[in-house]
Amino acid sequence: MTRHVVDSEALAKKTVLDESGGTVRLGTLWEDRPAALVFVRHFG
Amino acid sequence: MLCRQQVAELAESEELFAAREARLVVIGNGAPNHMGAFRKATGYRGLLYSDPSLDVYKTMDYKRSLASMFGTRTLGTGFQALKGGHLQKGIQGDALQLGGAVVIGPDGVVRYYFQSQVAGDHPPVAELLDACG
Repeated sequence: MTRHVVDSEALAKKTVLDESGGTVRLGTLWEDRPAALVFVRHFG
Repeated sequence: MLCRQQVAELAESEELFAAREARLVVIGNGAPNHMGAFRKATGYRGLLYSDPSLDVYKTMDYKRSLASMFGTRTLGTGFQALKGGHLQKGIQGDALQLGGAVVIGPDGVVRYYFQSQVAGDHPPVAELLDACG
């Protein structure tokens, strides 16, 4: 594990796209329970 | 381990995250209309999103470089994945962009951070689960 500072407040405001192209605010993913976000290299 | 294989492993672990009352989320950077094919390839049925602009990847300070694709570990892990039947077909997203993982609690505290150093360098599922509590 790499020690690193991530600004979770800045991250919470960012959005990602769902399968229909709609936007989801990242912060909603951990507002009620811990969330493990796994960022993959690409959809391959 | 290739990306597809990594997510196939996560697909098998989904219920372990649920058992810890945690949420597993997979984020890629390809076009949203590629996600259906990605689900079929991996068997992953959980939360799946994309960041085609790479804005979130930048915020996470994840690596993006040609050099990252040529780490000494890549060839070996690629070969292992090939033997396991996980062939990498085409590029659905930015091939130079590496990923990682983060675990964040409802209080906003970052419990875990992982930054892939080379292609094929993925966070161990056990470490993600531990961070979820």
